[in-house]
Amino acid sequence: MKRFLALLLLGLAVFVYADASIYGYFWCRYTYENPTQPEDVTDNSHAFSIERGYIRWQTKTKPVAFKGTIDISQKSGSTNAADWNVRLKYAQADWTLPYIGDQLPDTKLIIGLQKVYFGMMDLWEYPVIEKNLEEAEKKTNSADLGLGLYGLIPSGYGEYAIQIFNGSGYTHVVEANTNKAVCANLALIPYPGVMIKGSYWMAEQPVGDTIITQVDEDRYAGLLGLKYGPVTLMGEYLGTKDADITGMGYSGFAEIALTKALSLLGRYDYFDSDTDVDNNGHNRIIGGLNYKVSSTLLTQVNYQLMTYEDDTRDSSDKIMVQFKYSY
Amino acid sequence: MKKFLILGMVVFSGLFAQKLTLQGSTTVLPIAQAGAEAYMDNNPNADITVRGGGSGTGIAALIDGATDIADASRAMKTKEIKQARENGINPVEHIIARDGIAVIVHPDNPLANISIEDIKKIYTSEISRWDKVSTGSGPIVVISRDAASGTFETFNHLALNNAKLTDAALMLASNLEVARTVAQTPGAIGYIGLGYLTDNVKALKVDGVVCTEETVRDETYPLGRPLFMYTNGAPKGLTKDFLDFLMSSEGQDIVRDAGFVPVETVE
Repeated sequence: MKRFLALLLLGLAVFVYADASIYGYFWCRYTYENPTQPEDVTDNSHAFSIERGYIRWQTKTKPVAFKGTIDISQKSGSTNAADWNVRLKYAQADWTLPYIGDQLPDTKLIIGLQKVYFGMMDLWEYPVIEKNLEEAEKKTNSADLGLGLYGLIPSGYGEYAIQIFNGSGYTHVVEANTNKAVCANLALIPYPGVMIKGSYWMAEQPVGDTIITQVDEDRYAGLLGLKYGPVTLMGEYLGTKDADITGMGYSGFAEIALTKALSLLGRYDYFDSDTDVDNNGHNRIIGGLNYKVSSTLLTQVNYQLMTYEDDTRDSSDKIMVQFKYSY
Repeated sequence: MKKFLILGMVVFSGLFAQKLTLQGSTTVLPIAQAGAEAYMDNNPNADITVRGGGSGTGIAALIDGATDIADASRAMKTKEIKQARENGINPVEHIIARDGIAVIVHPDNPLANISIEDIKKIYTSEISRWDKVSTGSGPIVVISRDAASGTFETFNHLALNNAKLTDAALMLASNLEVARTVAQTPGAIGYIGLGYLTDNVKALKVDGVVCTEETVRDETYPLGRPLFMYTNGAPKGLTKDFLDFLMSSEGQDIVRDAGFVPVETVE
C-alpha cells in the first residue's frame, strides 16, 4: 500500500509540475476454466478478476519528455483478495536528440525503464486477451531498465531501435548478471499495410542464484504483417537459445472487422522449448469476438484451447470475457 | 399514390447519394464548409459532411479510415505517416491554400513591428512588459491557441522554434476567440490565421514584413504556411471531383473569400 501511494504521489507530482497528461486502462475479466479431469475441479475454476490496471502519465516537455506507468496486478495464487503487485512498468525520459532528430525524424535517446522493441511484443495491443507468443512462453520481458536509441525512418517507412538493458525485465530491477542484454529491432513498411520486421536479443543469464556461471540467451524474431481494409493478418517466427537448448515457435493472427465496432479474431501458436526433445511442443488456439461499446470500453470474448504433443498431457481450455476500460 | 412515389424517389435518391466526409483543422474549416456548400449546390447528389476538431483529430480519423479527407493546417508528422502506413492508409498531401499567421495586439497598442526573436521572448516569458519592446507600458497578456490546434503547432515551430510556451499564456480554442479576447484586452498579444483578421485588432509587421496575401504567397512573410487536405491514396470519384473543384478558379475564389491566400492567383 505504501508503495502504491508513493508511486501515485510521484505520478501526481509529475502531472502537476510538468503539465502532463494522465490516462490509463484497467481490465476486468471473467474466466471459466474447463477442467480436463474431474479431480481438477476446484472453487477457482471460474472467477471474476481485475487482472491489471495501468495509471499512465506523460509530459510534452521538449527536448526531454517524461513518461511513466504504474502497473497494478493481482498476485497469482494469492488467497488474500487485497493482495496486489504494484510496480513501475515504465519510467523513462525521452530525449529528442539535436541535429540527428532534424535529419532522422523523432530520433530519441530513451533513458530508464522502457518498452522492449522485440518481435510482436511492442506491437501487441491485446486484440485477444492472451499475451503475444514470446511473452506467453516467458521468453522475453515487455519492459526493462537501460538505454535505448529509437527513431523513425523518413517518410513513414518504418522504425528502428537499439537498446541495452539489465536483461532481467521490469519485475526484477536489480541487476541479475554481469553483462548487459542488447536488443536490436528494425521494422520496415515498404508499402501501406505491409510490415516486415526483424528483432534480435542477445544476453547472458545466471544459472541458479549465482552469477559465476552464466549461459548465452539468444532470441530472434521475424514478423510479417498485412492490413487491407477490414482484414489484419500477422505471422511471426520466434527462435530461442538458452545455453545449448534450442527452441522455436510461430504464431499466426487474423482479425476481420465486421463493422466499426465488431470484429472477429483468431490466433494459432506453436512453441517447442527444446527442439532436440521429441513431442515437446504445444499448440494454443484462440477464437475471439471484440465489441467496442464506446471509445472507452472494449468487450472481449475469447475461447482458448491448449493442446500438447506429449500424449500424457491433457489438453485444457477456457473461456474469458473481459472489459477493458480506458480513461 | 403520388405521395408514395415521391417518398420512394426521395429514398431511392438517398440510397444513391454520393457521400464524402471531411474532418480536421478549424483553420481550414471555413474553406471546407464554403467549398462543400458550393459543390453541393452544383451537384445535388453529393452529400458532403464537414467536421472540425483540429488537425490532429482529422489526421487521426484518416489513419482510422473514419474520414475521406483530413483537413490540416500543418503537414503530417513522420510518426503519423508511419501509423497511417501501418494501418494500410497511404496519405497523399494536397495544398489547397496558404495562410499567414498574423500577430495581433489591441488597436491602441503603439507597437507596429515586432521581431521573431521578441515574439519568442514574449511567449516564453523572457519579456513580460510592453516597455521592453515598445513605447507602451504595463504587463503583456499572452494569448495562444490551444495545444491541439495546427495553428499552435505551426506558430510554435515557426516563431518559438519549439520552445516551451509560458505557463501564463491564456489558451483559447479558436481563432475567433483569440481575436475577440485581444480586441477586448489592451495589454494582449495573440496570433490568428490571416483569414480571421478584422479591424478590431491590429496586425503587427513581423521582422518588417506585413502579413498580406502577397507576402504569404511569395513566402517573404516569416509566419506563412500552406493549408492541406490529405486523402488515402490518389483521390478518386467524389473525393477527386471535390478537390478538383477546390483547386479550380471558382474554388480558389472561395479560398480568397474565406480570407486565405489562393494557391494560384485568381484573376
